[in-house]
Order: sequence, then C-alpha cells, then structure tokens
Amino acid sequence: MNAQSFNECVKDWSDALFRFACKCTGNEEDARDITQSCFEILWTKRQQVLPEKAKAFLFQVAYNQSVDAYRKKSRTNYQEELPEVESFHPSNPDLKRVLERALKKLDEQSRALVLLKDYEGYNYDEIGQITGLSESQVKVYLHRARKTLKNYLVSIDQII
Amino acid sequence: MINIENYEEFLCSYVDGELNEAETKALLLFLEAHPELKDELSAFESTKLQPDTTVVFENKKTLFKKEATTLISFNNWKTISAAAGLALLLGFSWKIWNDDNKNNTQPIVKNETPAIIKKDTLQTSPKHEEAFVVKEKKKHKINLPKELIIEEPPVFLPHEYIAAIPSRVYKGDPVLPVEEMSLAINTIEFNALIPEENEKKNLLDRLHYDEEKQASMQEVAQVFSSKIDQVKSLSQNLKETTFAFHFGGRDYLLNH
Repeated sequence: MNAQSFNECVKDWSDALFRFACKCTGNEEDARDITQSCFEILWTKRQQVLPEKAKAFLFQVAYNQSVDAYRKKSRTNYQEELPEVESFHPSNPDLKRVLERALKKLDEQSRALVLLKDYEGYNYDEIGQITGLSESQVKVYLHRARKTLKNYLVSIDQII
Repeated sequence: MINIENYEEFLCSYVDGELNEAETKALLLFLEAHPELKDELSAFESTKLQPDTTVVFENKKTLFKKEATTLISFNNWKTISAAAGLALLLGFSWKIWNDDNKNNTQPIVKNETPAIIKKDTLQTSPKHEEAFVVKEKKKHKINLPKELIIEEPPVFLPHEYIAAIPSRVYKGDPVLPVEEMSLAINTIEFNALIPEENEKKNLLDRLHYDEEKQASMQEVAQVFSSKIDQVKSLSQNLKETTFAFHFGGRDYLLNH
C-alpha cells in the first residue's frame, strides 16, 4: 500500500472508524485517540497490508483498542454503564434513544459485534476475522445481543 | 427445519441478512402459518442500528501521510565513481578527437602532393589522370602504360584512409580495373598500422612502399600512438581526481 492508497483509506474509513470507536468506548476523546492510533499502525504496516484488506485491518485494531480502553476505564471508574452520548435522530428520536440505551446494556464485545454487523454490514465470517472469534461464536453472541436488545425495547414499549 | 423451538434463531439470522434463499422462503412460510410471531419479527428488525452520519472525524488532514523521499545510497560509491569516471573519459576523448579533426586538417606529409600521371603516358581520355586520386571511384578500365612517372606523391590526411597508391607499377603486375584498385587501396586503414611495432613493420613491408613513404606512415602511426597515450594519462588523472557535485538539493563529494 502506498501513500495515495493510505490517504484514500483515511477519506473513506476515518468517519466510520471514529463512530465505531465512539459507540464502543462511549467517549469521543478516546475514540479520537483510537482512530489516530489505528491509522498510525496501518501506516507502519502498509507494506504488509493490501489496500482491499485495509478496512478490515483498521476495524480489527479499533475493536481491540476499544474493548481494551473500555475495560480499563471500567476498572478504574468502577462504572459499567457507558456515559450518555446524545445523538439526534430525526426520523424516530424516541426509538433511537431507547436503542442507544439498550446498546449500553450489552457487554463491550457484544456491542462491538452488533456495531460491526449493523454499521459496517460485515457478515459472520468477516466479523470472526476481525474479532478473532469463530463464525459460530459470532453467530451465538450476536443472536444473544439481538434478543437482549429486543427484550429491552419490548419492555420499554410496555412501560410506555 | 424451522419450528416453534428454534424460530428465534432464524429470525435473528434473517435480520442479520444471513439466511439463504431457501431458508428465507421457509421462514416466511412458517410466519404465515404462525401470524402471532410477525410482531416478534418486527421487534427484531427494530434492533438494527443505523449509523449516525453527523458524527465525523474532524481534522482528517492530521491523518494524511506523504511518501518519504527516496535517499540515494552511496554505499556502492566505488561503482558509481568508476561509472562517472568512464563517462567523463569517453566525453573527453570524444572532444579531443573532434578538436583534432577540426584543427588538424593539414597533411602530415607536407612535402607530398597528389600524384599526377602524365597525360601522354595514358592511352585513354585525359580524365584518367584523376583515376588514382584516393576518393575517385569512377569505373574506367584502362590499359596501363608501359611506365608511369610519378611527379609528385599523393597527400595523406590523418583522418582519412590511406591511399596506398603504388608509386610505380611494375611490368609484371597484373592489369586491374581502376575501381578495384581504388577499393583495395581504400580498405587499408591507418588503425591497422598502429597496434604493435612488429605488426607495424610487417604491414609496412607488405605495402611495397619505398623507404620515404614508410617513414611518413611511421610518423603518422606515432601521432596516433601519442594520442592514445594522452587518453591513457587522462584516465589515470581521472582516477586520482576528487569529484564534487550537487544532486537532488544536496552536495556530494567523492574522494579518491
């Protein structure tokens, strides 16, 4: 990968990577650091990374760093829940807010799996390659996460 | 096979877009048979997250990179300096050779002038007197006269081929067309006389020249030898020269 391909990656994937890290860590500052770190690592390993594999490489680094950062923060703050990161969703603001709250109920790994699936559209196999899990593990963890989210949405709906 | 025990797995896979065509068809048939489960499908579908595109990474410029400029390694400076020296040597040689050709147009054998054949000794047209001039290649067959009297010898120029004009045609010599004689003469190059002293001597002996002409040709050969010595000494000087040059915004110094 040359500098031109690398800069194309920055244009194409920096926003997606930042959003992913934001949701995983719940902290914009950490997400910014993680995004920068991902591209620094990609630059140092550009000779080994093919341009078509660069996105998966970036998300693999982002996944590992986000999960680590979240776990580290959870230990030091004795706080399991993510801080509130408000984002406005014009089409259905209530559902969006509830869904974000539900997402915080998930563990850091399941949350990352859901984000990779829904945000980036990776299939089970690709998610397995990024996270280092087997395809069947990814399927099990994702289905469990979906059921948790669905149950949270249904319960909130019943309360309302 | 989808049933009431495992349908949730299929619903999740359907929402994740991981079912193939046959499985999707089977799930939709199952839901038609169990319409009370359609709400559950909607609930699963609502768990799909949509990325918030308003969240972006600011200052992408800080992430952009430029390829570092390639540095020229001078680890193999000996090879590079040898190549540069050779290039300079060839350049200087060419220049010296050219200058000589431009300036040194005077005949080396100054006292000799082109051969003139007495008209009355030829039995053909008067133009035959030019037949022995070096560059003339006109096709004329002549009957050689009984004797040729050379009043003045031919001119030899250093940058031209030797005109090995026989000073005298002996009675026993075969009669040749003028063109063939001229060609035979023109194909003898000066260079052939230079390499070794013995070879020079042998070549000169073979050419049926009188002593005076041989001396002239030796003189010419010496001029060439001295030229080669000049080039050799130039190459030696180059080896012992220090080169300094400016390349790619940097100054480089190549010492002996």
